[in-house]
Amino acid sequence: MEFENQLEKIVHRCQEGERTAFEELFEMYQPRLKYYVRRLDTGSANIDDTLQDIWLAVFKKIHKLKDAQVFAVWLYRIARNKVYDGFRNKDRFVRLPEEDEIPVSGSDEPIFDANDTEKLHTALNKLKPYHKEVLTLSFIEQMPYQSIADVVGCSIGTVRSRIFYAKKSLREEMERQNG
Amino acid sequence: MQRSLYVKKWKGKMDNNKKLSEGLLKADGIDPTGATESERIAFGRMLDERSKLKQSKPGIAWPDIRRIIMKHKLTKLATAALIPIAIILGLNIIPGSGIASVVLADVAREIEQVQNCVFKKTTILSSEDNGANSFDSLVYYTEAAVREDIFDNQKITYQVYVKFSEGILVGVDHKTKVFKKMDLSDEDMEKMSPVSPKNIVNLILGKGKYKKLGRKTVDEVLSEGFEFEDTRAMLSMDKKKIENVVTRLWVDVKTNLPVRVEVDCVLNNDTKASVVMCNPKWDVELEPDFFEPKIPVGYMRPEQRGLIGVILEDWPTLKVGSGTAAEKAGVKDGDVVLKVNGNSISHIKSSGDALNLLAGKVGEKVILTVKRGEQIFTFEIERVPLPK
Repeated sequence: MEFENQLEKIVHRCQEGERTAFEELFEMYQPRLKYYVRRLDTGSANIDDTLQDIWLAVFKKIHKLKDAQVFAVWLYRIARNKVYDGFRNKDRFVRLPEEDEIPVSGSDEPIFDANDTEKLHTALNKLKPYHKEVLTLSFIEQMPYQSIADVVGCSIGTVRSRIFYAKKSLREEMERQNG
Repeated sequence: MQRSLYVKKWKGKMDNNKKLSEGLLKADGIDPTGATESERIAFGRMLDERSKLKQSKPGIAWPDIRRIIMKHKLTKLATAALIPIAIILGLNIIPGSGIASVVLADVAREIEQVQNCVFKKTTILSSEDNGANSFDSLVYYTEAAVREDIFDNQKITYQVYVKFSEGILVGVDHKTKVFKKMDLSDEDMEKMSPVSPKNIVNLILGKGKYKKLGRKTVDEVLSEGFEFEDTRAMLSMDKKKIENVVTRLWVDVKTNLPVRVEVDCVLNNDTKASVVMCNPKWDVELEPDFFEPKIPVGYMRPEQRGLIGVILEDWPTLKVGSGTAAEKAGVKDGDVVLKVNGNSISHIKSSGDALNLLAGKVGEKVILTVKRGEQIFTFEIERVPLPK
């Protein structure tokens, strides 16, 4: 729990307006945040601007964050809103299809090997946007399903089934690359 | 930027999941250990700006203001330099597509959406007679209003507010504690109209000629440069002659947004003016209240400012103007000032600072303690208005 405790301290320092704390937070999250934003928004040339907007929103709103433990969820939710705001401006925001919730047992899920990330990355990019998003959060932040549900704004059941189908597609995509 | 010990520790914790995460980031060309240098710089700037905006919102009363003709030198210069703001907002919408990497339709659309921006400005004036003078400022721009804060040693020394909607311009001089308000005539407004992005587009459309400067890194951003000549890029409120106006614009090749604008010109045949605007931030949130001129309690209108009538060029040794309040009170040429209003003057080094100390509200009294030979005299002198 060392990570969580440290993060909580940094967030509290940010809430007190300490500049170096913001810089630490930025260093910690910027690389993965960038990966996530790039997965959501593949067409825009202004990803750097979007990231700046996200951090500006973090700076302005962090004093309102009551529970520092949920910082990551909060951050990715801001990021998601900023990206979709951009889409709305450009009229290319497409509503996600509603999915059926299916019961999935954890043991059925494929495991992905960390030694094969180049292929994994390429395959991930080929997935449907809503599959790409949940897997990205799971892979880069190791986010639990409940947190992913909070970021994406759907039920945990939907996340579970979405991740199940996403991993299935990912596996197929990787096999296609190999074959 | 120093990484925290914590980040290092955290990086050390590498299980399959972490490896997976880092591997994916690397596959996407992202360094998983931290932000890039340019991202750090941009983030630092954002923090700088936010803290500046927070600091510069004093709650100050707003006294009654009458029409005053503004004659302050610095106000004129600041006004003159307002115009190139427009170039930042509009110039990259150049027709004819000379810029391969810029999608003009996108740029036009984005510029349309820009509500406001903040940028840094440095103005350098140099002439043979007066040498070189420079001042730094922060300019806050919206379509309805502009505010410019001029800094000296990180303190705001002068402010200019322009409200296009009400047609007023207000200058606040914090050194002399004098403020001036000027109603802008239709003619003035007409002259200032290029400040709106729409009008500057028309200016460029009308001109359409520019020279390419190629690519280089400007303020750590890879940019493409353009140079053009048009007198209208520079404005003078006081009919100063403006010649040889050369404007250089640097545009970020990635975002199509301007990174830096440089304007050089010659004022009244003898003064070279060079204005650099850089570090623009787009759509920074600015409350309308931020553009309300704020005049601290006790600040004077120019006609309220009184003097005692001494010449300060050899400060602290005085010369006395004939027929002045100082002469009437008994001050003589060669008197050396020891105290003003009972306070030591050891920290007053320049005649400019001395003037600000001795000048003040008309009708108020200054108590001057001077040394004449071996004798010490104290005079009480009432400030009188400046002779017209």
